[in-house]
Order: sequence, then C-alpha cells, then structure tokens
Amino acid sequence: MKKYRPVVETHPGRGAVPQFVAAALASACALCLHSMNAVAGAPTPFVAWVAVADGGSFTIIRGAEVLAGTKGVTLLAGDMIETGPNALLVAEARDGSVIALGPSTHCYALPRGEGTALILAKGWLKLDAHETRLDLASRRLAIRGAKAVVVLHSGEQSDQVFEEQGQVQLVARERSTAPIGRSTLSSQRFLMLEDAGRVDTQSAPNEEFVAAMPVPFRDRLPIIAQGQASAVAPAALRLVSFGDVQSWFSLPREWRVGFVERFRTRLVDPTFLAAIEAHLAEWPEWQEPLHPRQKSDTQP
Amino acid sequence: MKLLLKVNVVLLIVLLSGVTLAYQVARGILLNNARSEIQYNARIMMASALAVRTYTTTHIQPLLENQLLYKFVPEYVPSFSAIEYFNRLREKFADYDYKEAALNPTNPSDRAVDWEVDIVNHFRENTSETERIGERDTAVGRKLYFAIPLRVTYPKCLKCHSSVAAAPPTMLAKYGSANGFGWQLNDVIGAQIVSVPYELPLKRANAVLTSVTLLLAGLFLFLVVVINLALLFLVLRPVTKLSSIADRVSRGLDAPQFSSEQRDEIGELGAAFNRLRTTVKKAMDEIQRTHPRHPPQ
Repeated sequence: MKKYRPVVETHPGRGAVPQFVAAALASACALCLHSMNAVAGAPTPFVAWVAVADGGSFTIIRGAEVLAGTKGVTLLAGDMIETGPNALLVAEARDGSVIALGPSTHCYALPRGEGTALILAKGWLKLDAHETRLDLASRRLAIRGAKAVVVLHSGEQSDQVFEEQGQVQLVARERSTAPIGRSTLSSQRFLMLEDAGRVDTQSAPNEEFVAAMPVPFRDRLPIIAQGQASAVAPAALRLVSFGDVQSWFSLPREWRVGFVERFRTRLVDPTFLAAIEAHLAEWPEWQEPLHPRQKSDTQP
Repeated sequence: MKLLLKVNVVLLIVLLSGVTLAYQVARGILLNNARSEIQYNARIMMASALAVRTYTTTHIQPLLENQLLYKFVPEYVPSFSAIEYFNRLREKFADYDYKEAALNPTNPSDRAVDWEVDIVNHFRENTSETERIGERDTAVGRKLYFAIPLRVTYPKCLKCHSSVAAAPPTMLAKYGSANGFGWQLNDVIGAQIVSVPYELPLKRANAVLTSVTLLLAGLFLFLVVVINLALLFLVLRPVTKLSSIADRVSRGLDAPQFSSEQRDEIGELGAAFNRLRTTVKKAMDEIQRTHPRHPPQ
C-alpha cells in the first residue's frame, strides 16, 4: 500500500514574512504538489487559509488525493472542496477576500488564466471581495466584478444570488434559458434564475432564500489576519475513487479542463477505469487516453 | 378639682397637641420623601432606558446591521431594546410603565395618545426644555410621569426613518411604508415617558407615619403613667398624710409625728410641720400652765 506523504503547506503570513516571499513559497509548494500529483503545472495564485471550520471536517480533493480539511489548512488553486451537512467553512484568501462555504457545498477553485475562478457546483457560498476582484460561477450563472460581497446559492432547480455590496456583472450560462443575458446586479439586489427560464429580481432576498441560507451568512464575514495563521497539513485519506469525483465529472466540459491529466493515474483502478469507459459519451475528453488512435488511423 | 386630675388634664392637652404636631411634621417630611423617591425612581428608570438605547446603538447595531439585508431584526432598534428591558422589569414591578410615544412612529403601538401628544407637542414647542414631570390619575391609581424629549440625534436613525426609498426593504416588508418616515436630524419626534405609581411609596410613607404616631402616642402615655405614679408616691401621698396629721392637730387630737424618709421639699415640709407642731404644743402647754381654764382640784 502506498504510504501518503503529507501535503506540504505554505504559510502565507503577512508582516513577519514579506508578501512576495510568501507568494513565491506558496507558488513553489503548490507547484511541487502539482507535480507530485501529476496535475497540469500552471501557476497557482489562489491560496486561502481556513480560519473557521465548524460542524466537522471537510474534504479536499487535491491532485488525485482525498484530504481531510480542518481549521488552519491552506486551500490551493485546483482544490475541490466538499463540506458536510452541518459544516461552515470560512477561508481568507491571500488577496484579502474572504470565502465562506455553507453545508453540503461543493466548490472548485478553478485555475483560469492568471487567476482562479470559484465554481459553486452546489450549495452555498458567500464571497467578500470588497477590496479585490471576484470571479464566481455556478451551473447557471457567471458572476464577475470587483469590490463586492455576494451570496450565491446553487440548487437543483435554480440559482440565487444576492448582492450585499458593490456591483457585479451577471452572465447567464449556456445551460440556462433565462433571458438575462449579460446584466448588472446592483448593491442589495436579489436575483433568482430558474431552469424553467423564470427570472425574479427583487430588492431583498425572498423568505425561502433567507430561511435556507446558513445563518452565519447574514453577518459580515470575519476577517482574520493571515499573520495569525498556523499552517496545518491536511491529513491524506486516500487516492480518489470514482465515487469521490463522479459529481465533479458532471461539471460542464470547460470546467473539466485538466481533469484527464489530473486523474489519468487513477485509471490503474479497474473500477475507475470501468466507470470512465461507461461514461465515455458524456466525457469524450477521455477517449484519447483510453483509446489512443493508432498512427495508421490518422495517416491516409 | 384634684391636683392629679389637673395634672392629667394638662398632660392630655400636651399629649394631644404634641402628637398632632408630630403627626403633621412627620407626614410632611415623609410625603416629601415619598415624592422624591418616586421622582428618583423615575429618573433611574429613564436613565436605564437611555443606557439600554445607547448600548444598542453602539454595540448591537453594528453587529446586526448586515442582518437587516436579509431579515428585519427588531433587536437592531434601540426603542425595542428599551421596551423589552422594561417588559422584563414589569414582570416584577407591574405598575411601572415606559413608552416611547411618537407622533409618527414606525410601529403603531408606539403612537402617542391624547395626554402623551400634549407632552410631545410641549417639547416640540419648547425645544430648550429637557424634562417634564407631572401627575395623572389612571385606572390603577395616581401616577407620576417623567418625560424627556425623544430627539433624532444619531444620523444612523435616518437610515430607517428619513424616506421610504432609503429604508431597508426588510423593514418595509414588516411595517409597510405608511408610517415612521420624514424624520429629520435633531427633530423631536416623540417623548420617552416613564410612569411610576404613587400608591406604593405613599403606602410605605403612611405606614411609617402610622408607626411613628403610635410610637409617639405610646411614649406619651407611658410618660403620663410614670408622671402619675411619681406624683402619687412622691407628692400626693406624703401631702395627704401631712394634711391628715395637720387636720388632727388642728382639732386638738393626738396625731403622730409626720415621718418621711424623703430628703426633698416634701421631707423638708414634713420636718418643718413637725417643728411647728412641737412649737405650738409647747406654746399651748405654757398657756395652759399660766392660765388654767380649770384650776387644779
């Protein structure tokens, strides 16, 4: 059995260590990590320190490993974060933004260009980016802006977004048939976008949204200086099984970029391999690694 | 009229006058104290309400401000805190009242009624006046009211009360857009009124007054008894005895010497009487010897 090495953690402290040194260390560590796990070696600007992890531990899929997250661990670009049914997780990013995830939430820190987009696959997310730019997306909505505080819920039938502060651009994703196209959501406006195409915009969140929303989201997110952070290494649980990543594989294809490189080492697992084979029509990017075309096939 | 009766009549007059005077003086002092106590209680209650309001404004509101975006939280409102505080207080002191009576309140239950409207208008017309104290009869008895103007001093208040457009949607969803708007900074929009019952302090004052009066009357009665006994044993009895001896002597009968162990004026009177009696007897004997009425046989 493979003995897992603990993931090397970075300490993105401010004050004690110059920021550029911390950034360099973080990037270097993340690069090492990615190379160890055979993940596409892109720069990893997203580093967030978990300041609050209430309601039990959460899991992080980093590379092709499943890790147990706790308070004090550092989240990196490429991490897939899954919280439990009673969980509340608050992480402070290196750029000063604060991210909170509610219970039963799946969130993917998708490396995109020089930054990182937070993809909310399901559940609750609150992002306080009052000093920075934000790049958020759910299955139905893409949200971009700067200096804003946003609460986003992605459910089975609809997505809802409430703009606490600032102003963001909303873009309906392809899957949605709603006629919002590209629009602006102003401060303290609420928008609900349903699969059926119904769009509801209000000056305050509706009662259902407030009742379902994690109560701590009603408050401002706590800002805890990262200088106080003490690095905690997340415990390695196992290599990912198909069950661990199945829900992530259902993300739209543009968000699955890099999955083949990231998880192809798991094809040694017969169950994993069989599942991929079975869903090949849905995930055509696996066609090439599973059934590489012979050179003769391509030559006339 | 016997001496004892005369003395007792005088004592009774003094006793009644003394007790009446003491009653009136004590009553005045105690009622003044009761009124002062009532006013003091009212001032303490008003200060408590103001303290709770200030605490809410400075400590609670910043914590709940964000929550207003999602749901109206009444704990955000200073008057709610003050009223809730008094509601808890009224569980033990039911006759005490506190109201933030406003002419145009957000919550209809805070609307000023007739006599409260007069107070609010008085403060609006006399902006330099800082308090008003008065009395009024209520269903549960006479009460003192202590009122101070409710002025919009925190600009933060205008967030909810300046205009419908500026108000939090969650507040509008709860209270509607009809009332509680148009307030301006430094406006007197109502009055904080504490009502304190007279009954209890007055009862306490009357109980003290009764006790003091009874105590004084008892003390006076005790003094009367003591004075009577003293008069009886120290004056009346020796004087009566002396009078009886003098009476017998005056009629030429045998009479004993007046004996008294008293070394006071009565004792001196008895001694002087004995000397007088001896002198008179000697004189009588001498007269009898020199001028015998019946020559010896």
